[in-house]
Amino acid sequence: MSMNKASKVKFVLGIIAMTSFAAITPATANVTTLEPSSSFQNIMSQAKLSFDSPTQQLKRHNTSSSLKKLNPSSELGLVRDGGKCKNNGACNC
Amino acid sequence: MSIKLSNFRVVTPPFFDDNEGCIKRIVYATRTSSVRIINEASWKIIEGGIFDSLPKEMLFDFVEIKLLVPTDEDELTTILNRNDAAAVNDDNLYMVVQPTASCQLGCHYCGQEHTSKLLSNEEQHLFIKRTRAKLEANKQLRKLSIGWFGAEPLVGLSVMRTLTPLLMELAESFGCSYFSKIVTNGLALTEKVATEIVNDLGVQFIEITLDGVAEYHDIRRMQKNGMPTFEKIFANVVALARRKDLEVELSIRCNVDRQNYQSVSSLLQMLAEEGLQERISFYVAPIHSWGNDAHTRSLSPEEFAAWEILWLTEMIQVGFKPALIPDQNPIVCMAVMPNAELVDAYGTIFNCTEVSYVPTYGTPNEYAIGHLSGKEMLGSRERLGNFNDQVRQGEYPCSSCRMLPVCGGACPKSWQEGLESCPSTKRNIEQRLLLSYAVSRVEQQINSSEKATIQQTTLVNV
Repeated sequence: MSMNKASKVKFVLGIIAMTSFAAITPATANVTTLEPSSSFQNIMSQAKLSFDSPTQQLKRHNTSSSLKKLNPSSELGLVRDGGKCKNNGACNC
Repeated sequence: MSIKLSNFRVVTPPFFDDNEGCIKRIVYATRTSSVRIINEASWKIIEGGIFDSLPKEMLFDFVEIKLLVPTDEDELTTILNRNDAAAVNDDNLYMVVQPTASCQLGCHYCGQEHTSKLLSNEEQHLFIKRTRAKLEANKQLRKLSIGWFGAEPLVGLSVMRTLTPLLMELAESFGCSYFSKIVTNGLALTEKVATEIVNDLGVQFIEITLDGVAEYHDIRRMQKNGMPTFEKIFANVVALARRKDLEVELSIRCNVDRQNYQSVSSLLQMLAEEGLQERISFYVAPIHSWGNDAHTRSLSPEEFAAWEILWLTEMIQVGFKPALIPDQNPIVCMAVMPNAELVDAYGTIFNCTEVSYVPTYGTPNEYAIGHLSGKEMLGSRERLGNFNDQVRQGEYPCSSCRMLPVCGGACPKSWQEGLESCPSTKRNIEQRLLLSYAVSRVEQQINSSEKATIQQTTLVNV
């Protein structure tokens, strides 16, 4: 049975989550030992993006200019207010 | 034309793209909320101001999205003039009604004083008259938006019932569309009530607050008699979210401070286990001062911003679709809308939602700008309404903040009270950009593998 696209993204990211959720349950989370970046790092890895020695990598690769627009249709993109007067969570109404 | 790099930009740290074998950065031009992924070589050219070395197409694009702007442009003035114009030319009449001063809950961080007062028939009549006068006087108005707010607006359901048909009729008679939202604690939002407010009272957007799972929520948002509320509210949310026949947007707001931030993940899991990801939006908001000291128990802005990235990541992982990158926000809030007003259950008029029923602001309330009866009050609309001028004069750090075009300044009242009101995006926009890009890449990978599967299947079939 085929999964729809949203379900697949959820499934793939869910697998990543399995490795990171244990670290952020209420029982273990703590403001003073805050390390909320592990699941973020996992998604970055899944996307094959890394912060490891980027300047070293630069020397080995081509340096011509390139440009991409972030997919504007991404549902994770811009916040659209739609006239609901949402105020960045700054007020209650 | 001589150009410069805009001050209103966010650039992520460099990262390595394993697929393409190059170093990239994400650039976010906040004046147009445009996002571009560029390689490090391009960024070095831009940063060095050697714009002529950029490929023409790229150069034009960067000018178009206002990443590059005329050298002589005073960007702050341009942005604030745009914000002023947006407020003046707004075709939306936004009116907030507090039908009652009563609320069943006794949340410890709430700054309001609750009583059983309902907006009287006479005051309702005056409110309709006032709304009509605004529509008559401002011919550019094309939308009438009503926000039902509390205290708890559903305790004042009888007022909603009498006012709504009159407001709808008013909108129609002026050729305006009608929109209505409600911010509710959800306790009285039974299926019957939900059906009525959506189908009969035209409510199109419902926001409900849950401060985590039961063990956290119930020690913060208990009834005034101390009784718990989570189980009932959660059941109401689930029942409403499953109603496919009701056309309404649902939003869950989770207010957090040091007492309950640990519960956000568990609440997300609970909502996801009910399969509500496609039906509701969810966001976390830091507790702020409501004329009280509630903000002193909040996470620091840095802590909140860091935790929010984790919550956003978790939301994506369990199938929610959180908004990651903010859009333009030229109209910061109702305070700067020349016609917008909040009317409380006593008939007092404000241009802020955070001041009514708050005893700290005195009796009469120092923020009150009028009364339905015509009685003069202490406050003036300009006190908060002149916020853009105050930013223009450099009174707040907003005047030098790169996020101003997408934030608008957040909360004029907080700034006046000497409290920073910056949204979390100010501190975690880089991670939001990276997260958004990473998720789009995972989607691409899935698309590619789907395509490959289809091609393979086609070959087999041939």
